[in-house]
Amino acid sequence: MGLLQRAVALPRAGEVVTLERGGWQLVLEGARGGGVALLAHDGRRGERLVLGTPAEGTLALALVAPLLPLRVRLRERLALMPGTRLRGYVRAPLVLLLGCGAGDNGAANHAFYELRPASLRTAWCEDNGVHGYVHVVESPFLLEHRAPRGEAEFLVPLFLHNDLDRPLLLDEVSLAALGREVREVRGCPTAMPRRLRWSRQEGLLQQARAWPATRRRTQ
Amino acid sequence: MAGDEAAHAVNRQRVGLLVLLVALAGCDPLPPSAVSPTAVEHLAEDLQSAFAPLRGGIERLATRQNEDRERVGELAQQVGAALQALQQQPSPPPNDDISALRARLEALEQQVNEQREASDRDRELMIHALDSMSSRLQRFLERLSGQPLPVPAPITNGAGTGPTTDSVSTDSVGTNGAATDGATRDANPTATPSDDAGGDAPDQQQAASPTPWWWACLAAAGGIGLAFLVARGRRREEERVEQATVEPRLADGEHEPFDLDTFASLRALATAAGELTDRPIAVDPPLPPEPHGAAAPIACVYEIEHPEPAALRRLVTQWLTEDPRILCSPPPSTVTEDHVLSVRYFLPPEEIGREAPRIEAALQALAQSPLDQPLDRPLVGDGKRGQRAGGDDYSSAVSHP
Repeated sequence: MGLLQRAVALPRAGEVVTLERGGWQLVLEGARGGGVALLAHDGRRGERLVLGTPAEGTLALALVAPLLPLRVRLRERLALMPGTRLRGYVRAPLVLLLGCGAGDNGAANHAFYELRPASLRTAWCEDNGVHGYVHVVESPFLLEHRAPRGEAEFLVPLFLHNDLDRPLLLDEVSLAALGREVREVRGCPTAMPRRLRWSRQEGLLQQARAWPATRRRTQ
Repeated sequence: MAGDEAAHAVNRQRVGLLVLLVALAGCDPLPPSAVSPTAVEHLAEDLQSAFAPLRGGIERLATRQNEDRERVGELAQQVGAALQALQQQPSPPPNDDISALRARLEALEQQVNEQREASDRDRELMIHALDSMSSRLQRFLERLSGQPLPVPAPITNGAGTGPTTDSVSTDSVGTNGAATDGATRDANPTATPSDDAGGDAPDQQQAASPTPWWWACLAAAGGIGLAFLVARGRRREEERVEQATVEPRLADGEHEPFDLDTFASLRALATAAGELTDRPIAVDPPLPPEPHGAAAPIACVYEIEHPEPAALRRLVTQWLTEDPRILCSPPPSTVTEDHVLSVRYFLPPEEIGREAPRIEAALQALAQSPLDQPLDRPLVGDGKRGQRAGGDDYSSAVSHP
């Protein structure tokens, strides 16, 4: 278990466990009969759940990427000149995935609920005959790998290539859903890097890049 | 254009230095026929000609630094002139703008001074390194040839002449002159009899085989110079990228590397002066979304009867824009009619049965709460279900007591 995953033992009858994860405050209260009342609260909204858990079970908390494709509305307008490439990062909120099971590692295989932050909105889009649901987030375009303020956000490395013969102005960037995995890179949650290439023949191509290498400190 | 030529010259001299280092480090000791005075003089001329592009590149770099410095200075002068023009306007601008401009001006002046000091230091360091390398090469060639070679002209630039190491070079040659003479006598059969005047046999044998110390020293000097030039090129490239990009806006509480307030003041000033006009910019259309779920969202209508629908409408509108369960597109809407507030929002079809009753319960709790309090409490749905109306809409109603 690292920065993005954590497992806590479920409280026994009469016990109350309070913990914070991903901007959420979780209050677990054990009840007689094996049930656990879970109250998740982010300061504005609350979610109440009643869990039927096994004996000696654990509650797994995993911070993952959102399920739907991301439409990132940039706070700055990007202008890509012809034949240029630009590397940067955008931020997006993390989703807290709840899992429950017996043992330390079995909890991740029984995910049952996800807590979306208030900044992660969902929209129905119909553009050019293609329709679907996307998550809409707002983010600055960071030129450096800068860690978010808290653990409730992750970075998406972007490699933008403009192979067109004209400048390209961008107000937002659509990112395909390439899995929910988020890794810890240089101390902050980071998603799989994406390469976006605009070409005249093939339009927009989006590819996944390899994960950045993690630097390990030797003592 | 001057910058490109300078970069080209630097790259060319980098390649030349690399070839020279590889040749010096990898070759065997020079054959006797190759160390004659004539051959050494030719080698010295070749070395001087090889270093000539380096000199030109350094001069161009210095010229470009001066141009950058002058450009920043002109920018600072323009900001100062703008500040004076702002102060002389008939309607005095806000003091915040003036103070922001003054702060920006001071920051620019400080940057100019720092850049000037840094460029001077870099230039002195590079000239010192080149002089040291030149003197070492001179000593090496004199040791090979056994006679003093013409001293090359010191490297100069537009700003001045850097420190030289001629005295160090002369002293070193004097201490090693005997061994050098012997080496030249053995290696060169055409040497004059006067060359045999000094030196003993052990020194001759030691000097006849070139010691690896000189090769290592020469290679180290060249390597240091090469590494310095590569690092300098990378740093200049990074500075150029940083200057060409604008730092993104940060959220509250984070360090702001770019003073947006000052930038806004400068923009407002330039707009007022007529130098900058807002022109419509063509923006590319948004990228098409990827298909995920083919079912279109369903509109949900919920009506709340309330004695103050207008006040409740503001609260509900704020709440609708902050709840992630409700789709932001199509946007939710509210309509007041008499004492009824009609709330219309959209949900995915698969979430209608699970989320709509909870959202309605939250709206009901919101309607029953005091309207003058901010929306800072948790709204937990109690699971009360609504009723489905005809058609695609999911509607229900509740009456406030």
